[in-house]
Amino acid sequence: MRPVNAETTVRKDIKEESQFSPSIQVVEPAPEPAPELMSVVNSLWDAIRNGAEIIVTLRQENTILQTQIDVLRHSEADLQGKIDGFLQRIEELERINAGLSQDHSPAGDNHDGTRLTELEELYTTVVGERDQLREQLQNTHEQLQESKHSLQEKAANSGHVARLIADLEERAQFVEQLQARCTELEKIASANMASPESEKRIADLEEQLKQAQQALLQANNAQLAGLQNGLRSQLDMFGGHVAELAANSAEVTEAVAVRLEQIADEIEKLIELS
Amino acid sequence: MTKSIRVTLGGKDLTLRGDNEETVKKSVREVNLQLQSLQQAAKDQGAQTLSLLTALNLAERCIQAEEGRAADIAYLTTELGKMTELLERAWHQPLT
Repeated sequence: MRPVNAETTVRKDIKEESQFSPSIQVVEPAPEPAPELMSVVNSLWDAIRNGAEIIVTLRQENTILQTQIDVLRHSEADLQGKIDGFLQRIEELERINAGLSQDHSPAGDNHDGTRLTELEELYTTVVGERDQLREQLQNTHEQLQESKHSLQEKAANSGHVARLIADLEERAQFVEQLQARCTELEKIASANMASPESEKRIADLEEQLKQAQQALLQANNAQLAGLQNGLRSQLDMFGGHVAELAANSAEVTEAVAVRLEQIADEIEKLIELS
Repeated sequence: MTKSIRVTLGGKDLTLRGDNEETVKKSVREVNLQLQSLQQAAKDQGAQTLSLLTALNLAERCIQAEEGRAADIAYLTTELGKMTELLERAWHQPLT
């Protein structure tokens, strides 16, 4: 509402009594706050918002600190308990030490003597357990040594068996060579066969040669069977057995070889005679 | 402390009694300014009418001032309430 001025009061068509009647009053909107007041309130709002953020931050830090304080108090309680335990232990050790000192003197009382006896018994027990443990350790060490030797022997036997098998294979090849040589001699003999005596002699020699071959094969088969059985049964016992078989095999092979050489010489003689 | 104050109000010399002489003199000065303004604008009006109009204008300014003050108080009350609510939330809300 504007202040009443002269212009409104001097209008000729309006009487003075009606100038301030409700009919000419204007309903104005609610007044706005003063601008300077709004500015101050806005500044206060900024401060309040910053203060709220600071409050939240401080609360968070306070929570963290409270947690750390709880942890520290818990640790303090634990440490205090340990300290009490240590102090108690120190007192106990001091008491024991004092008792031992008095016990060394002739005037030691019965309590300290009992304590010393208990300590001696404890010492004896501990020494006995220590000796037992040493004995068990020694036994274990010996068992380990035996196992080690057994493994080494098994390894050596395995190598020996492998060598024997290779030797037998080599002998088998030698037998094949002998067979081939016999076949060649038979051809030569058949080509130069002149007298019945020679034929008979050759037939005998062939028979002897077959027998020698069979004997050699049987010996080799027996050796192989023995080796297989020995391997399946017990490797520790197999070493000696294989050694025997090897010796027997060597003897048989040598004998067969000598006999075959003799047969060959005789055949050559017969061929020369014929 | 009440004392006598000599003023000239509407061309008349008066002796008034009041506690605050400065406030009385400022009020007298304001009434005279308002009266002179109306006299210049309405020279054909009588002294009584000009006095009434001066009183009416001053009363209207007083009412406007009171309404503005009430509005300021309401505005401040609302804003302070919001600020208080914000601070309460910051203080009591669960922390993440």
